[in-house]
Amino acid sequence: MDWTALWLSVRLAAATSLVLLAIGVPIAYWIVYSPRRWKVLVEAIVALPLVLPPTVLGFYVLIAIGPLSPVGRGYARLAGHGLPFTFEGLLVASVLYSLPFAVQPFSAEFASVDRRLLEASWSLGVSRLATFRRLVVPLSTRGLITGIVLSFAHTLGEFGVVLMVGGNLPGVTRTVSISIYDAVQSLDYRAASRTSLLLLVLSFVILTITYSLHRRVWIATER
Amino acid sequence: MDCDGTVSDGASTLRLDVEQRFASRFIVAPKLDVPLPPGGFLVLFGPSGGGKTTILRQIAGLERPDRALVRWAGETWCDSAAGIWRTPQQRRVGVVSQQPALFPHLSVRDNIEYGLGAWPPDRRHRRSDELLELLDIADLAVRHPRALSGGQAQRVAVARALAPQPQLMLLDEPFAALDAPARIRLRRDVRTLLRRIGTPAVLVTHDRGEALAMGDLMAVVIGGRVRQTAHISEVFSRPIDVEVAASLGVEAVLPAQVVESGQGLVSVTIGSVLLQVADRDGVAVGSDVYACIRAEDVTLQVQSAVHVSTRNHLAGRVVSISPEGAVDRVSLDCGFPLDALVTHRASEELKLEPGMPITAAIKATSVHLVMR
Repeated sequence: MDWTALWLSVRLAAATSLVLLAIGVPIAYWIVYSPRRWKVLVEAIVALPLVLPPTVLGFYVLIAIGPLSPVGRGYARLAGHGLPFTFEGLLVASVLYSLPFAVQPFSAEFASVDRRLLEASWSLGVSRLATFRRLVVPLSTRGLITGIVLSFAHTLGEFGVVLMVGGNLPGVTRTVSISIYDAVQSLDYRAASRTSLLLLVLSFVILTITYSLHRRVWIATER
Repeated sequence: MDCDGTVSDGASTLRLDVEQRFASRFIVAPKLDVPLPPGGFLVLFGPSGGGKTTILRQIAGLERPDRALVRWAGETWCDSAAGIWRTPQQRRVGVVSQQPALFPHLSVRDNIEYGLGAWPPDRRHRRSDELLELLDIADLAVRHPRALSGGQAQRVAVARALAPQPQLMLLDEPFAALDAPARIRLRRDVRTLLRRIGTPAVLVTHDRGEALAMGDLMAVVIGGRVRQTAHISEVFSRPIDVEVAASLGVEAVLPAQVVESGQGLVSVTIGSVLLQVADRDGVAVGSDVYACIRAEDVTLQVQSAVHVSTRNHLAGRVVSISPEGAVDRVSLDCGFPLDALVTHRASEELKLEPGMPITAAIKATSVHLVMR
């Protein structure tokens, strides 16, 4: 089994989840609480990766971070090397690719907080931002966990985007799904089946935990 | 009590001149200009769906109407013409609604301290101790909201709203969801407490008994507008029009005082007139009450009868007679204003006419006493 590839995938998935927690919460907050009408546009953009072929997304990301774009050139000047075919490049692509898997559970949970609680908080003199921090976030822990776990699992299994943006460099961009593809290409079905099984079990366990959170099978959260 | 230096001596004025249109085409356009003394109560009274809650939300800053002027105690909270808007946070009001809306992830004490974020911890703690004590919920401090009864939860909601020392309390039918004993106890406690700490309040209710028990001033809200604002007994004795009168119910509501009690009867005085009332509620001698008498329970007789079961025979004079469908409403002056409903035929047989002396008979069981 390709342990290097597995370890890389886990690192990538963990980093993606963390970044998504940091940027997904403000995006979800804005989507839920902004009075702007055109926020539906932002919602649609966030949801795009759900329907777009990974190759299309990967293609645009590749162009966007490549040496021909200002972003790519700016990064290359700062870091000394380009983004494509690096771990950081993969991270950028993964974050975009998993954005809806984090933002949608976050915003669904934020929106489900009873408006009367928010108004009670405001009337007690607590600002909107502090209300979000002290009331909405604690009441949304399940949604936050769901979003993080789903983006972790989703990143773990991504293939097309990685292939487009990262290529196939062992230990750098060869993730576990690429490694399975490689194994099949070289007719090493044993290795492919072992890794596939591992990924299958891992994904199943993660999803089971996520759904049990919602059903409150084991963890009693207060609502 | 070190609770409230927030309201200076003398009354603060609540001024409201708002027009808010809803998509349903309903318009809530209240006009109010009332002085509220420290601890004073203004009751927004009227039928359900009349816009009372919306008016309260306009005062709280939870509604932002297109055209509005809201002023409290010389502060402008909203002036659409001048572009002034104070957020709910800046208005320092305490809001309690029908649903207690306690924060489910926090204990009772943390709920009460929620609005005291900027206070030093020891002061915050002293304040919550004080409120737990005042609302008689000290034994619930560590509980979570889901482990509270309706009455307990509402007490916590009141404590939480009072904690940051609001300059005005806004109560939106806060007792309506409670069962009768809890409701009566809590509203009496809240009334006494707010009087003591000198915080004025606006109370929304459609319950006449509650309005009488809580209010000093009353604003009758019908169809999104304030139809009459006056002292509560004034509104009841002189409703401005039939719609207001209908919303109040048909009873005469008279300020009275209990002077004697015993053998299942209490005696109350209305001005100089003595009235005997069946003692159902166990009112104490000396307490101030409202005596409520329905016009259909008042019978008229030309000469005073001697041996009948009716306890009260009041000598008076007919003031006016106005037909109301099948019956006549006869307004009397018995030392206080009182209405009687009689049939046309009875009215003719008695040869009723304005100015004639008459005796009004009222059974002791027909008078309802409401504490004030």
